[in-house]
Amino acid sequence: MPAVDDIPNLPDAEFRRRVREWLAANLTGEFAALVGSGGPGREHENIELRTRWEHELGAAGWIGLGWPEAHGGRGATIAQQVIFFEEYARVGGPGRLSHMGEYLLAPTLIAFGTEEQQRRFLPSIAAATEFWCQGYSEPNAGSDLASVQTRAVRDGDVWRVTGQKVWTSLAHVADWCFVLARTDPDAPKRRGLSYLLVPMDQPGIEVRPITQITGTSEFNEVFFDGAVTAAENIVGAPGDGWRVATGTLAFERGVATLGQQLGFARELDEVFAAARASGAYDDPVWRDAAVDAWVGLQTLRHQALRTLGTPAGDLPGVEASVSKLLWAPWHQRLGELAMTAVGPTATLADGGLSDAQRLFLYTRADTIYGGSNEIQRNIIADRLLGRVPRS
Amino acid sequence: MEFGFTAEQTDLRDTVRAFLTRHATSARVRAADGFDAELWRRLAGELGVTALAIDEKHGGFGASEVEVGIVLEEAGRVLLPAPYLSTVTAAAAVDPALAADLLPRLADGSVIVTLALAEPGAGWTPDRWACTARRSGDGYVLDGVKEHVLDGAIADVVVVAAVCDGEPGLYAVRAADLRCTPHDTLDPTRRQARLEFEAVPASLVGRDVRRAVELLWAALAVESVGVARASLELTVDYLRTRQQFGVPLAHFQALRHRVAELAVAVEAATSSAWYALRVAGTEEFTIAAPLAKLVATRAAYAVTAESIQLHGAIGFTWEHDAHLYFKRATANRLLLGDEVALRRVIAARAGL
Repeated sequence: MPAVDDIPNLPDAEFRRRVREWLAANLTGEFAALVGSGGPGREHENIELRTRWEHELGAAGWIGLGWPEAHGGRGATIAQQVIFFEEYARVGGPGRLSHMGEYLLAPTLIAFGTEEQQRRFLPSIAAATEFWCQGYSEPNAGSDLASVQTRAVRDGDVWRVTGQKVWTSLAHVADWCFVLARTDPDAPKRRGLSYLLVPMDQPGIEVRPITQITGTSEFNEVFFDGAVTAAENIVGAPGDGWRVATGTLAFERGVATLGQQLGFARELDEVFAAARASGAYDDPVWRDAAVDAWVGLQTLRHQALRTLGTPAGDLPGVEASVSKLLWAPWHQRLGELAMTAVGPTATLADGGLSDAQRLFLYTRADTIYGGSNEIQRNIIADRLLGRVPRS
Repeated sequence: MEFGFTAEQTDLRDTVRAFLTRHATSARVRAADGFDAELWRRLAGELGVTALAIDEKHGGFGASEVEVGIVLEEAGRVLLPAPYLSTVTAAAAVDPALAADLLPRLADGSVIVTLALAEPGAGWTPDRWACTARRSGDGYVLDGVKEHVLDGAIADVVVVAAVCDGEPGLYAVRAADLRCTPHDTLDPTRRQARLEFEAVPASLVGRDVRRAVELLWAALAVESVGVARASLELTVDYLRTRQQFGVPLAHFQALRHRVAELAVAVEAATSSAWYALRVAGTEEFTIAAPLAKLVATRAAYAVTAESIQLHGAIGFTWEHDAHLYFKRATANRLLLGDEVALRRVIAARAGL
């Protein structure tokens, strides 16, 4: 039973009030321990409790807010989705485990999936009873994603998948993986790929955690050794995988970006607080850099509001790249600022990493994952300057 | 927050761009020495852009900051050598109840008006401005010196920030009554002047000096977006056509990535400048305006400086327009407070 009905017809202020009320009433009791947990550098924390929290979110109808109602979504407006993110970030809601299903797979299924696939998978994403991970990157297919070598071969009623994926976030908690695999080794490299939905709990799959720069582990290697999935678990036609994988809408990311910025704002507040405590704040040179970070954060917000408000935008199709090139380096600089705010104490790690150190270390990933900043620059340059012909 | 443009606003942009592309050519901008009277007459008279945001009862069209912003951005694209920014910021800064005589003439473009704010040695800090107004008969007289007055030598009326009995205000004076020393300027497309007032007759036309500064910040920001966009387009065109090593320069990743970063800066500048215009009627403007000025002029500077580098030696020549964009961007960046000064303002207002 959803916590709020008839969302599309609810005024924004009323919607915000309902979200706030629900969070206040539910992020309590055992879940109170989750406040602030699971964020950057802390993804490994409280998995079991966070899983149950996801079930609460799902039962209350907060997952799939922006999906069309025909697909089991709530038909929330962009403004309402942003409000949900804002309120969630405001109370320090824990890092999400269901987001790859909700924001990457679901829009893909809605755009490219069959009715059967939509009926099979969307409800369990919305209820958070099945978690997803993304099987794209491989040891030899990072930025050059189309070089994926993991093979999938049709064998009667199933696909058999063999190969290795890497940097697979949350593979150790996921029930399913959407896998980009090569089904036609003779086709040109982008045309020989297919988009498969593969269950994780089977003998042909082994997940090995990778310890990150933070000393914790959120991503994994995933080994496929003849792993199987039913023949119908292919999104799009065989050979359509590249189009399906890259067709994921940048729109939802824009919505998520505004929510993410509330987290950034809280981090920046903490940096200011640390600097006041350490005395760094009294140094006008340090403060000037900190004010510039504040200015940068406002600009991120202006950018997100403008591109959400005008879907065509000035650089249609590459807003997501522009956004990434704005926020990722900004967040990285914030991590550096956090360390200088603390001063030499930032070199000590008695009792584990501090928040500042986690932020500092984790943000090195921001400019790499989801398409490195160099790839994002390529995407924008292709738009402005045309693609460079391959010699 | 609505960032989109209506069909009418898009038409306005198209009309202004077509007019300026045709008439504000590089040759004409260069020949104008900062003021092309014929261009100004037609912009105000035929296109009516000076009347946009002025209330209908004062002879305007009753449109908003958004329409003015569109024209300012387009003016920036061609480095318009005409006092549009000066006139519209002055028009927006005055209090309509006090300036009922002035506004219809501003609307029809029959007078050129500009804001006089900065003072020698006191820079852009209103607290340190020493220009004074004294009551005299029905009106006032003004004493003091103003510096960096944009289009100061061609203005018919100057709106001066001055203090009367401790109260800051905006006072209109006739250009004929003051002493004007025109400057040669680094940016040849917009001139500045030093103005001196000795018991010059003045009338009170507004009280919100702080808002006058904010309006000028926002106007410089959105104009700088136009400067940056045009400069980036010039650079992109050049990279796509200029061949070296047997291929267009646009094939080299070292250059492609720099262009991508410039495009990102221009996008961010556009967002912050337009955000400021969209909140011009709210309290948020007091922070959004200096922030937009900082972000947009920094982007315009980065783009125009890189434009010279990406053009190679031709970009360093007088005959190429790259330096004109670079100089306008530089002036916009330094006028009315540089980045450090603006950060100081923002920090104080945001309580950082």
